Amino acid sequence: MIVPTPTQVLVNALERDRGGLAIVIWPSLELRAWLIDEVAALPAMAEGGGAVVVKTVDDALSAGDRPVLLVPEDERVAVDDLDGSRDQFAERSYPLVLFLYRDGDGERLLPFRPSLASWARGSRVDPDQLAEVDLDAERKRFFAEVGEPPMTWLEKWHARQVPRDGAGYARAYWAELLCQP
Amino acid sequence: MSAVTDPARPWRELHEAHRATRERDVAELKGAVQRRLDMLVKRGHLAPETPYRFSEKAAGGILVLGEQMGAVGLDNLADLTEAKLTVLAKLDRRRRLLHQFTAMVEGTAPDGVPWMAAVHLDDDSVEQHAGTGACGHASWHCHVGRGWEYRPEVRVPFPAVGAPAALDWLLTQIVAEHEPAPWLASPAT
Repeated sequence: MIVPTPTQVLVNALERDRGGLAIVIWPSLELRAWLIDEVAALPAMAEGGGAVVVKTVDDALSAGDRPVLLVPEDERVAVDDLDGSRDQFAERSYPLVLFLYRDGDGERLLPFRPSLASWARGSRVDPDQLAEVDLDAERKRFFAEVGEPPMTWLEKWHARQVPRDGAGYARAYWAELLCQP
Repeated sequence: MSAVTDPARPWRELHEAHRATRERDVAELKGAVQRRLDMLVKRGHLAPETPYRFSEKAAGGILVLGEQMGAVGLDNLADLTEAKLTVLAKLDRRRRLLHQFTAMVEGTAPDGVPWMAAVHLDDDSVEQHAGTGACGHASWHCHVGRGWEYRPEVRVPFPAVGAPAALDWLLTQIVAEHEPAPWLASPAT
């Protein structure tokens, strides 16, 4: 089974509706900066003169037809403003990406703003949650693929009993992740 | 012993400079690598979907980048008949630290001889340093040769330029047009 990567899910969300709205959920302030950089680095964000980061819906409208990353200081106001201004964003060619705090004011308000919820349907992405692996399931997958547990294989790798090549290095990084307590 | 004659001093200073790079450019690392992969796509060396496969897996505060991409084929290189590129990173997201970095190209020269170049930042989340010390096994180092199985395995200390620039160095060895810092004047100026 090929599991889509967080980046692929994000790209799919942005491409599902060209010029549409995607919502990216962030779990903490330090990871918000990380996610903003990550979204800004996507090739789709380099189109139309490059992405701009704004704090309000008014600023997003003023930015014109280019990729916009809306990172609101007041999420309730941003969600309310977006809910009432879908028509004004109708002619866009490039994505509008709204960043909301996981379980924060904005995300909790979404179910009560049907126009916005409908606009963003299927385009809500939580990259951090997507990146988090199920350690037990992933260890079983490692065993099925490699034939031994990550720690056992990793000991052989460090003892240079496994041939060194790019695929081996990739497997070693995977094993190290799975050896987390 | 004076500082001037202390043979350990340059290596300890290099080690400190290497340590400082672990805190730099961490959040931007994924985008920086993807932009370089995108350059390889645009030049016809990589399959178009490759930058999207440079993705992450996380467990707790640790995040690994590039494992799902693995070793990907490089096409249309001037000096290698076949080649593969691997880029991997292990990061601590909460402390915003780069623990480990690997970028390598393995290939075959037109005369059939194997060739590989790799740049490594050793994992600092393990209990013991790798190698004998900061001279013989600097945290940031590179290898160039026929392959891992050939001895002696030469480990060249690498400057403290950080992961994106280290990847630039590797890529300029196989795609000269990628040069990020072209000479603007003669050597005498």
